[in-house]
Amino acid sequence: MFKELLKNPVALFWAIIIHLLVLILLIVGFQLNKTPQPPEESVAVAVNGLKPLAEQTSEPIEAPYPIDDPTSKTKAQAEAQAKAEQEAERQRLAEAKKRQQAEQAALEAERKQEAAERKRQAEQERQQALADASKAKAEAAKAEAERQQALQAERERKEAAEQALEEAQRKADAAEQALAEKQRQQALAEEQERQAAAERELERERRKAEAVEKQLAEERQARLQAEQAWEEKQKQLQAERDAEQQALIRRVEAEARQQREAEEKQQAAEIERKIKEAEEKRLADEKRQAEEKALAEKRAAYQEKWKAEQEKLKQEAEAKAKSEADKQRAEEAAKRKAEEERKLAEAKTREDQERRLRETSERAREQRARDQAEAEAKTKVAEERAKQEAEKARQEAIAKQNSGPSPQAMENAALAWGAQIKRRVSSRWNQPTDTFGMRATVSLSIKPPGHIRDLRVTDCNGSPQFCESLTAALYKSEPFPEPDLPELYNQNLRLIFEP
Amino acid sequence: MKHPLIVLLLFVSGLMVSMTSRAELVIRITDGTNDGIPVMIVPFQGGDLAGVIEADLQRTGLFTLIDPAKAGQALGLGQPFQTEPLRASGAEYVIVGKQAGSLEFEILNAATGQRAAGYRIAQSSNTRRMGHKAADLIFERLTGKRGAFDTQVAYVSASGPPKAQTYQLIVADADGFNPRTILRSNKPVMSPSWAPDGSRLAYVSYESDRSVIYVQDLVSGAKRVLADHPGMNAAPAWSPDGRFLAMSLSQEGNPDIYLMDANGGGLRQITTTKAIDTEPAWANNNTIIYTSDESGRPQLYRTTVAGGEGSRLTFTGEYNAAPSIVGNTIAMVRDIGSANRIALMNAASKDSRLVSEGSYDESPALAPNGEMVIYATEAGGRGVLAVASANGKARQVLATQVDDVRDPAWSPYLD
Repeated sequence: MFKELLKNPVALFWAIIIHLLVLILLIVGFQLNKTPQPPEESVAVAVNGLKPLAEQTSEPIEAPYPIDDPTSKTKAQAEAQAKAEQEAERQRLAEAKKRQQAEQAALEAERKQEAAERKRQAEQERQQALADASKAKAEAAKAEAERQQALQAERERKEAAEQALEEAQRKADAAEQALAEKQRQQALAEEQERQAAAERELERERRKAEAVEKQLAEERQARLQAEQAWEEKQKQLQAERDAEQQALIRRVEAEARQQREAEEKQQAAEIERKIKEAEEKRLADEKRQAEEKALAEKRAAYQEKWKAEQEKLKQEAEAKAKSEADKQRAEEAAKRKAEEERKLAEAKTREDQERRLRETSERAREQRARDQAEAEAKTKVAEERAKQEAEKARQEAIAKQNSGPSPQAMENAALAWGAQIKRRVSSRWNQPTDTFGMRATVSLSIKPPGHIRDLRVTDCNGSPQFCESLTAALYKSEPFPEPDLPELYNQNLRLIFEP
Repeated sequence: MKHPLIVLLLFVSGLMVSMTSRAELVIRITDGTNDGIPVMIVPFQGGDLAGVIEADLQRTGLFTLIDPAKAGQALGLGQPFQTEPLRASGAEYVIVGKQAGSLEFEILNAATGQRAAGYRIAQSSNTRRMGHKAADLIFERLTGKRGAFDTQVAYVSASGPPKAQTYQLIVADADGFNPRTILRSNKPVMSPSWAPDGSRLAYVSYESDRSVIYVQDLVSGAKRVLADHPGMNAAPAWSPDGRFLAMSLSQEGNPDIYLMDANGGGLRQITTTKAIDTEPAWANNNTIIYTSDESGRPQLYRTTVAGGEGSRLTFTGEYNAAPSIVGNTIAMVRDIGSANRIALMNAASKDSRLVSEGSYDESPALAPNGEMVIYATEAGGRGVLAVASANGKARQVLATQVDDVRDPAWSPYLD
């Protein structure tokens, strides 16, 4: 505790003050205890016939001359006055000597008288003392009892004083403890203040370091800005170069596209022309076939008519022959030979006719067969030609599809289109957080002019939110960019989302 | 015999050429945007909770709100809708609902035109809390992560003249509404910390003219002294399992990290450095992150409940302090030279980014899902609380405060 007090001068000061106060309190307490107690010798005792000595010596003595204040006069006046006073003094001394002598004489006489008187009084007093002795003894006993009571009261007072002292000591201890507690709190507060000061100092140092750091950071920032500016410039230059290159590419692509479109138009016109010619040819063939059919029908009708006429002629010939035979049967005998000759002739004629008829019929049949074969051949040829032309057109279409643009151009166009699709979809895909390890495959085909024809999420091993985000991104990407080659439309695309 | 072979070879070659020319185009997409999921929240029939949900979602920075006027049609719960106008509006999801006592709402997928989900929330006396619950469900359906809107925050409010201030410990909804005072004192109160079950708060109070750590029950209001050791008693932090509290004590001279049972016994010292070790935070039941100036300037260190030498965790910036941890995310105060900002660091990759923009931002506390961080900052000459999204895209000052507020602490999930 003393060490702590020595560390703290304020506390030391107050400790000293309190100790002094306690000491003063003790001293005052002691005096207060003593002063109210009259000494035993001072106990008033009444003695009859005796005059207190103090009363004899305390009578005032009248001064023989007035006493002036020497400070109220000047020095010269004081000297003159002193001389006058010396003279007066001498006179007064002389008179006083005379008066003293007279008084001594009177006093001697009086002393003698008083001695006698004192002797008589002493005797009386002795008698009185003897009388009062017993009385005094009783008074002494009483006084002793009172003294004992006073001593008892004194002891009680002392005890009370000691208790008061103890109480005061206890209070002093309490005050000391309170003071110590206060000093401890003050020490704590001061410690906190010191800590706060240290923290402030640290804060100042920190601020200072921060200022340095800030300056460094500004320098770094300036350097960074310069680097960024340089990078920006480089980027700008690169962008310009890219833009020029892109513009060149676009120009070349546009020219190629125009040329390709012209070629396509020419090819389309050629195909149209061929189709038109084929149609015209088909119509002509149909017309020709119709005409041939009409001719065949006409021929058939003619043949039927001719056959009917021949039949009629035959019937007529037969009837005529029969009538002639009947006529000749009558004349048969005469004309047998002629008849036989005629029959022979008629048979021959008939045979000739039949032969001609057969030949005609055969010719007609052959003609029909020929016509039919010819028609069939022509139809077949036309069909074959149309088929060949269709096949040729198909082959041309396939060839155009396969070998219209070169494979390299096709591949380049596909890659370019894929890059465009990737950029468009990426810019519209709100990628969910925490997609690490997730993967999805989407099958997609796009129809002109850039809308989704078919979309299927074929495989998705991510969260539902991840899988849904892909579909949303693709629908938000409509319309998709136009490919350089329209052949790329409707082709199957496979999009792999693999963040 | 030779001709058919030649024809066959030609045919096969042609087929291969044809197949090559028609090969499938593969497009590999590895990057997307993080502009936020476009969501259209149509005002609910019979209530205004759509506004509460919008404000909640907007604070996360993960959503872009689409004006319902762009829908091009009247939308409502259970009503048919046209997909094309919704796609054209840019919305990926549309929220429609009806509030009639309880709250019913649906999430529509604008891309596919399908109903993605439907929910019903029972009626509650705290209507705003119904909105927060709905926002939690929407957030979880659209992001796959649990929402943290239906939670609470504790903070300290100081009012009155500088030398006679009244301090209040306040608990409010996560958006600052419905504040409740749980402690009022004319002595400083600081460092509130939520118990993992959300039923109690530990805090530091100077009501006995020295720092003492108390634990107060939020239901009964009863409090008890947890730590009253010589010197400083500061920065209590509950372990995730609720069994222990970490704190900073200076009974040995300089502040060190100590561990104590939740019932107040079993005190043991974790750090023994000569530096100032304070502001402990739990990464898990075994790992503690704390602030120490062992290297000269305050930086974050990690240690275990078994104690031992701490290993330095932060190397970016001259000053990193006051950690708050959820998963792999560590929020901290970073001195960037001209200001103190809130930084979020990935504990695995050590990548970090600033999410606040104030000049003196401090006391960060992460939401239980790690998607938002609340912190104390200054605005208009007084302390206010602000919430920033973890991606740094959204910042919002909680506007329901009137006094000087500080020391926010975000509660755990409350159900």
